Amino acid sequence: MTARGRLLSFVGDVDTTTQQAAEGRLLEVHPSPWVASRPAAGEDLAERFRRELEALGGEWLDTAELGIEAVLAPWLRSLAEGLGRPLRVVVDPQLLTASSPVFDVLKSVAAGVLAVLPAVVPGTCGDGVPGTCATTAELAAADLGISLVDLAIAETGTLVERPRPGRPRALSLLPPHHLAVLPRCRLVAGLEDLFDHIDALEGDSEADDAFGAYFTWISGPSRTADIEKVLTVGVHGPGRLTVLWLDDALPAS
Amino acid sequence: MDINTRDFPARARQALGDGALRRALATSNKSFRHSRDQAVAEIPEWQALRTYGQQAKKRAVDALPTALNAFRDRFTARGGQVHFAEDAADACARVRAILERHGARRIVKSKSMVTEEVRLNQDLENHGYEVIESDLGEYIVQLAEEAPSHILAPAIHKSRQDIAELLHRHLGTAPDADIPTMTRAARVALRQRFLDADVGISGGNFAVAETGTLVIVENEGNARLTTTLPKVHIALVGIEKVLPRRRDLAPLLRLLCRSATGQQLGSYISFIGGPRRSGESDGPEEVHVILLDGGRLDLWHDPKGREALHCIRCGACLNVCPVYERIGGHAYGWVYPGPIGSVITPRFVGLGEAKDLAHASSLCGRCDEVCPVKIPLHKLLLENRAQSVEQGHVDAGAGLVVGGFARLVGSPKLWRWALALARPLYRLLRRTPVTRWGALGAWQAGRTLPSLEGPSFRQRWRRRHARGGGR
Ligand code: SF4
Repeated sequence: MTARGRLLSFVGDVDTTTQQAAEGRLLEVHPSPWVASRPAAGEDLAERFRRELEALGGEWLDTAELGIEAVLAPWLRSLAEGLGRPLRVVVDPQLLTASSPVFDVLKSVAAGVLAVLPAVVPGTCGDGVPGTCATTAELAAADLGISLVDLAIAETGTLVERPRPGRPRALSLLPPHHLAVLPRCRLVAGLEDLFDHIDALEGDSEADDAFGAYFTWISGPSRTADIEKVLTVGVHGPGRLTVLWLDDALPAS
Repeated sequence: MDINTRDFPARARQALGDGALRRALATSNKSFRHSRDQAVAEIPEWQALRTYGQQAKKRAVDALPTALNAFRDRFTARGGQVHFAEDAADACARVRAILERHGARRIVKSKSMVTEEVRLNQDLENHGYEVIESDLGEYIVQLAEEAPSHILAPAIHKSRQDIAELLHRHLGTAPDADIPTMTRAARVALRQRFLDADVGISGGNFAVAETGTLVIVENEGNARLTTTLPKVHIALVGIEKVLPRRRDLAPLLRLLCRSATGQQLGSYISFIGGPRRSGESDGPEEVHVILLDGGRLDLWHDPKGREALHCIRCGACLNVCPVYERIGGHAYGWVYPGPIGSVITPRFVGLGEAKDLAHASSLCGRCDEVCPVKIPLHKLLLENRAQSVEQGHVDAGAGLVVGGFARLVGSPKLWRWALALARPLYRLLRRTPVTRWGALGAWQAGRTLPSLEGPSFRQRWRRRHARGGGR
């Protein structure tokens, strides 16, 4: 056997039946040990998520008491004031439907506070998807990216985002500040539960299962310790991460 | 990276004499160890978790042909492309073929030890491509025209002053800029490179066969940018990274992240299953995974070496290694330093090429204790030693010394006699520098010899028993 092709024959010399049988054996269940970091039964998952998020340097905006308008509107205004100019925002199209509570707030604070927000007037983008398809250049110039989280893991304070038509992958990546909207019904307990829940979601296309083309876990702001092991945030991804907690209502998508 | 493993003794000696390097390594290792120990202490079930990790990797590696085959099928079904590369030249040629097809010129990279292994940057630069490393540490060593010295923290051998001067020259920051300022400057400089890049090249931590998913763990966000913005994404991954089941990810991610940086999880973990889907406005239009042999198959076929393929590259064994802590990553002369480097480098570059690495260990066994997938590193090191003796890579002098030692310890009488002689000789050696005497001088130069206080253990034991004391 020549050196070239050795790996291919190592991998390739199996017929389908043998392969299927062997794969079947590989997929046998091997229960992984319980670990104390997983939330205990009955643990308050929202509280746990909040604690983990804050330990990572993320911020928590709770709408449970005051309602979304009273929390989000002043928060956006204060960001704009801090910049001394209107805030450049790119918004997940799923949050820009008429029934979305976030959409109402954005409309109410728009003038003088928010800029580059064509989608505050619902339009369509790409394949008839409502909202705006922000370009990479627009995302790179934005101050804030607002996305609706698909799932979140309380154990580790992790947000899970899958690509959606009309929502760029870079929405939670290019702007220096990421606001993630998290409804309670999307919060799962631990890492293992995440893999169970993601199976229940539909795939990106007919050929795909829920694992689909792509998803990403986000745990806290972007960080590095590459210089003398000193922790520094915001190296390539957002240096600020804020989670807007919706205790009940899930904005319709 | 060039193979410089033959110079290991000389490089190690030079590193030992470098005070700044030794201080930097001592601080960083301590910090790594502290974070890891804290994160591990949070999980009382850590040992059970390690055992699970060990078994999961064993199942994966033992079934490597099946798992690789399944990964290829699933990933291809998702629209991705899978290539198998035999060696460094093959891997580089496959990357270049993809670049040529797209007329690409500008390449942005996120951290990947496999690309170091195949010397991809040099190859691409020789062919006129512009390659930029985007991990902050990799970017720093690239600007300094050096090689990474740690698999997680490539620039850990450099002080902040070194880096401030470097960035001053390249990015125009103040010569005494602080760390946040330097980080911001690198962010701005690299952001444009990401936006301009034609192709992104990454590594990968796991390739899940069941789902056809490539998993990349990181902290900075540069791997997300590398795999999101350019039109084409190429990942170079060692064949041993394939995992059969997605459910093994939860325990392995816990083991990896806690052992590597003491985090519960890396800030970003990307799960990539082929190119963007219709309706998406970003994400690569083509995704390639190049799976590299590069010596791994030989290791797989050796029942006494195969466990080295279980490694998940967490770096924990480097951070506890007294040898690594004193000489740093560059001395090892190739891509992988520390205990795991001493184990796999000779297997990848040849035992004859790297015979000294098998001795870059005090066999203290701390690496075995921290390894999250329980690789018996010191046993594998001994196996390398044995194999290099079998293959005749040991010089006659060493053979004589070891043979003589075997005779000594084989006979209690000879041994006592030798010890009696050794004590005065040792005392003499402590006081007298013998730099001119070759090997003995070299041995003496690198250390401060402890004094031999009082009588020997044997003498004390005998005396104590003569007094009738039990304790
Ligand atoms: S050998 Fe073990 S401890 Fe060392 S890098 Fe690999 S997984 Fe980590």
